[in-house]
Amino acid sequence: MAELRKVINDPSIEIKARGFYRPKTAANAD
Amino acid sequence: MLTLKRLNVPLDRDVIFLAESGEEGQVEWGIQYMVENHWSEIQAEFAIAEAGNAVRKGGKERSVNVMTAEKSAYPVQLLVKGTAGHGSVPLPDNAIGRLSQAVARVYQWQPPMRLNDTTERTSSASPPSARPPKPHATTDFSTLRNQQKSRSTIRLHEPNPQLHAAKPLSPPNMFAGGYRVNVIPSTATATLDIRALPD
Repeated sequence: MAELRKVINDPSIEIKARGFYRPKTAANAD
Repeated sequence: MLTLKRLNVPLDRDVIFLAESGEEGQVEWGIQYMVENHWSEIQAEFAIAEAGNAVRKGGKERSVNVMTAEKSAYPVQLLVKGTAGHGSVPLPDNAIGRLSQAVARVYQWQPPMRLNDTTERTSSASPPSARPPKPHATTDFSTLRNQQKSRSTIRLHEPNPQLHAAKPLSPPNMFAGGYRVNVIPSTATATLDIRALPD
C-alpha cells in the first residue's frame, strides 16, 4: 500500500482496501 | 478420477472433486464458504485448481499444469473529493481530472519483476509442444529480465501470462464520477485490481 501511495503521489487521494478475499473474522464481520 | 478408479490405484486418502460457483469475485459463496463450513469434510493436503489447466491434443494429454501458488488479490478503491460547481467555471481541484492523473500514474507503473522457484523453472520445465506460442509471448525469463532493465523496449501491458506470473499487477478496471455534462462532480472513484506476488 505504501508503494501504491508513492506511485499515486497525491496525498489528497483516499485509498480504501476493498478486500473481497479477506476471511471473515470478528473484526470485519458485517 | 475415472482413471484412478479404472486402474484401481491404491490411495492413502480421499480424492475429492469440488465444483463451486463463487469464482474469485464472490468467494463467500464458493471456496470460502466451503472452508468455513465444511472443512472437516475436506481437510485437503493440497488442491489442483482449474487454473493449472491441462492440454490435450489428438485425444491424448500433452501436459497437466499444477499451480504451486497463487497471486493475492488486493482490490483498492481510489476516492478523490473536489469542489462541486458549474461546468462553465472550471476548477483546479476537479475530482475526475485529479483521479485521471493518479490512475495514469498507476497504469504506467513498472513494478520490478521477481521470480520464485516455480517461475524461475517455468520456461525450462514446460514442454515446447504443450501450447503453441502466442505472437507476443516471451517464455525466456532472461529475455524478460533484459527487457525489464531496458524500459524503452518492454511493452507495458504485454499479453504475456509468463510475464504476469512474475510481476505484481494493478489494472484500473472501474472508474466512476459525474452525473451531468455541465456539473463538476464533488467525487470520483476508481478501483484497481491489484494482484500481488504470493511471496
